[in-house]
Amino acid sequence: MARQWARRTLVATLAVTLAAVAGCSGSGDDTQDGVTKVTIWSQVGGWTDIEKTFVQEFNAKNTGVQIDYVSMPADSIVDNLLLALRTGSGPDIFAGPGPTEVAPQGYTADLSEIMDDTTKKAYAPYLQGSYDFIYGGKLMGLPSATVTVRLMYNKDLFTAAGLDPTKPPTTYGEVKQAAEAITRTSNGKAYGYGLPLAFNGFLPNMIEPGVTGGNPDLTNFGAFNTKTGQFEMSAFKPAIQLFRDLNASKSLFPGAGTLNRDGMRTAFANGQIGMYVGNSLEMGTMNNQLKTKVKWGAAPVPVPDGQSLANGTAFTGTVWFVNAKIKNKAALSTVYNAWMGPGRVGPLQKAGVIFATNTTVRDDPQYKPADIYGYDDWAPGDIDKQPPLSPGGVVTPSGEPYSKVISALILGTGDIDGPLSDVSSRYNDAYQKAVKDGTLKAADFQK
Amino acid sequence: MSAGTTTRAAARRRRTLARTPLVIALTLLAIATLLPLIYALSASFKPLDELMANGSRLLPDTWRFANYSEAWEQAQFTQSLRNSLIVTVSAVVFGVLAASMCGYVLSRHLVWGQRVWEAALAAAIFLGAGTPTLYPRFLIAQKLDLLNLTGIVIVELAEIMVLTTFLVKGFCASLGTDVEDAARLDGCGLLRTYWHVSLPMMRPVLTTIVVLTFQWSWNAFQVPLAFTLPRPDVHTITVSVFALKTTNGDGLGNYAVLMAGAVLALIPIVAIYAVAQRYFMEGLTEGATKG
Amino acid sequence: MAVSAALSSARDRRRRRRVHRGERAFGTLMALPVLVTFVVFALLPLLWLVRTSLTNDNGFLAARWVGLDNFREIGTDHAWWQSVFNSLFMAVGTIAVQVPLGVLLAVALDRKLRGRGVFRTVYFLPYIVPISVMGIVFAFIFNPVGGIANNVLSALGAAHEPVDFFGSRLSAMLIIIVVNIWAEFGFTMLLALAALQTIPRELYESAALDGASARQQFLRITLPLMRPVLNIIFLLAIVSSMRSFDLVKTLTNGGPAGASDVMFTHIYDLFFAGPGAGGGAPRIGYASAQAVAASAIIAVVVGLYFAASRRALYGYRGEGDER
Repeated sequence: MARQWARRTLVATLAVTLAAVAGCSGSGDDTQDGVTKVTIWSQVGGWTDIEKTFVQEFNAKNTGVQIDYVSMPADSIVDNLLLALRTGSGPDIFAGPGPTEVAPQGYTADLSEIMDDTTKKAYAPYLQGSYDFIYGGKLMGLPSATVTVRLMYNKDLFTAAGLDPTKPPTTYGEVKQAAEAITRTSNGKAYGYGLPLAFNGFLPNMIEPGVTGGNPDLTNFGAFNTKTGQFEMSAFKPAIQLFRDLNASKSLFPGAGTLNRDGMRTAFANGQIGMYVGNSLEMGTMNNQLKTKVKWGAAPVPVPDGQSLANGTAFTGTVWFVNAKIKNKAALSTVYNAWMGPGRVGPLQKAGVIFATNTTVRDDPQYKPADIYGYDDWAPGDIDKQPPLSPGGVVTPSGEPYSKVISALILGTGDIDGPLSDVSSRYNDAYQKAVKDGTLKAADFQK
Repeated sequence: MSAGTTTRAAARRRRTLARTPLVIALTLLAIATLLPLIYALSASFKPLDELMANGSRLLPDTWRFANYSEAWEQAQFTQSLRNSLIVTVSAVVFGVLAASMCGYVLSRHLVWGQRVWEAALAAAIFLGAGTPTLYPRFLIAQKLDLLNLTGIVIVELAEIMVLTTFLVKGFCASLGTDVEDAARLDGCGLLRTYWHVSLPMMRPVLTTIVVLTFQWSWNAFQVPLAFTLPRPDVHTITVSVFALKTTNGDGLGNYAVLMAGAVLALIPIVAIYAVAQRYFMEGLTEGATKG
Repeated sequence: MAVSAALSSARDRRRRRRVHRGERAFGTLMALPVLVTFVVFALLPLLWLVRTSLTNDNGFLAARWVGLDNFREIGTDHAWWQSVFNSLFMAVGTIAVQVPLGVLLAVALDRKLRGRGVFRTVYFLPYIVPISVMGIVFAFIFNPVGGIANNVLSALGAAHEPVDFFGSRLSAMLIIIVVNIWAEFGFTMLLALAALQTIPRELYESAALDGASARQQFLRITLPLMRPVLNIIFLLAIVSSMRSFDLVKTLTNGGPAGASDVMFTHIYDLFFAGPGAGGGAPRIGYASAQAVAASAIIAVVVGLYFAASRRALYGYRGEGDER
């Protein structure tokens, strides 16, 4: 650092050289011999084989347009996709990042001129409303799956503890009783409840569905109140108290602070955990990967005492975007509409991989899978709705993110109200500031 | 005569006795060092549900060799092995050559702006910020049209060569210059002196930096991932192996196949190390009599 | 040593006067491959980092200049300083065991010993295994329920209920340190072995003739002559412990509740946060400022080490003068 000046000179010289050397690396033309290539990036997952089959069939049927399909590991696709998009490259059609990560940055195209009428009809419920894929009044992406959230519970442990396996808890008070009964009767073999705090998404996926479930005004990413336009993190207090109580009575699966989701899933599959909140992916995990012998059930998420479930959280999953840099609109449109249609989405639902958002597929009995354990428990119902858009994912508050504050409170013993009101005000300040300087529009988040 | 033999034999026995505790300690430490690796090896033969359920058992109940064939197939091992070899061998060859040259001339004060460079390199050892600078490095590589195997080699080397250059420089500074001076007086040019006189003397430090560069390049993950993600045909072995964990998407991590892949990826580097350490170290100490 | 150092620096001075202009040009040419890649892919990106640290870039909205605001926030950021402390603790804990262990092993394995090649390979193995894979393995081993460590403890009757190894900050950090030592001591050994090759055998022979014990030989010959490499060993151990990332990320992910966060996991979380990762937007500007601060902290620690080591060196020389 003492040689800052020297380095600066050097760097400046090299920067100039670099700029001179670096020509325009321009994006290549994807049309060759009258055949247009459309690139799709997808995450690796249970759907990969089905998507590959779809692509093969599509490419066999079409001569002028060909799909170039690339599937990528789930834990790195977002970082690298963003890297590619930031530098002006990237695929034509992609999924993986959240809409807030790509739409405001201008990486995505407005879909209104790309969808055909069939697609518009099939996705009618998603074309307007408080969705994160609608940005600045434009439809920037379409979800192809709905992911529901439920309380997973072990029916065997319920029975052993003298609880009714057909009546899972609906409130935090009942959760506490059931969890403690399970722990007590299992002779140290099982714990009432599992909470993997080392799983990054534990709040939106496992706590917020319950915390916001009883109050239709609250949405996720920090208990934002869409009526008052304020983050009201005090709403987390009953949940924090519940987990502290469970921890104190040793009914919480040990090591919650460093437990990750896979560790918890495994313990549940081994019959060591009575309950946890998860999403519809748990079905495949339990049935196919862990091959559990546990008789499990999935029930609507419990809510704080004195409330009842008004909104069952359901996330729209796997939002498909189109790159803002459109090269051949007709070809792109053909591929996108086919991609979102029954040709791909139908087999996916039939195989039990997703709950389709495509209403044609959703309502068509020929796409209902046969004989998947627990399928009906997870299937979306009328109460399952996408939480309203939250500014919690786009504001930049100072200090610790709310997830760290809340996990510290759950594991701690001190005052709850103070830290919650502190984190609320930090998030509110950041939100107000962003609204004031015009980077966010209050109308997008408030009713 | 017989008395002399007895004394010598006794001395040898005493020495052996004195060494026994040392050998025992070394063996115990070796076992402790190996245990986690043996655990990983055994995990690579377990079915996923068994690994997750009875993670604590050392030996698998069911031996699932399919973990290896699945890892081999899903990670496209033949291809990624080839890519990794290309990257690593070029990194070692160019990296070791470049670092030994640079370290050598720096140690002999033969570089313009010597002090500035030394300070900048020294600072960079602790300034490199890893992940946070991934984005700018990607941008620069893109500008230079280097989002390929060549680019991976260069970017990996940019980080590790700072260190290896320093190691060479430190080593050369402690080497005497007598032989070199003699060679120079005989009219040897700088390059020839370096190649014929100094480089052979650097053997111990060269072993270190060969192993260091090999390990660095073979195990590199973030840079190859970011640079080659959209093109599976240029994935290196670590990128393909880590992708194995997420073959179930957002479902359960596929740890068993991941372990199998990691074991497969480990074999070449262990072999190289065993050979390298024999060749360099043993060769060097051969004939030296020591107590 | 002092004499030979003085001699060699005098020789250097003579040499430098003797160097021809053309020779220096050629020397620079030989250094160029390293220097060019270094500038392009190490210095330029750092510059970007410094620039970004002065903005509020969050990857979503247009970045604005905020001057030194980020650095002011660092001053009062409790979680950040906790992670700084953890990094320091990890460095001290690791080095205190790893360096003596590595050096002693090198001395032991430098002698003729049956199977020393095997020992060397075994000790070095952990260093070449990707630590991110081993982090997963160790997490299995230390699992509070059903992990091998717990099973051993309960089999020995040492624990009646499962021990939550990662449950408190101290035990989580201790396990991180143990695993870190496991991963790195072989590398220390390798460096020390290379250093031992440079020590002339005659020194030991004449010392042995003078009746010096093995311990005396180690203290009077081995350690002093290994000094330059020891400096490098310490430097590398400090830097690699303080820049540790993969290990902590896969072993504890900073848990419980950030208590075992080290500097670079803390920075990573800010950098790659996001709604899905349980945070707000990523704070790229602030993360960059922390990365700059982390570099400064490591620089200070290394500087302190060198200051201390120089004093130790002079102390040693004083002792030598008395003799």
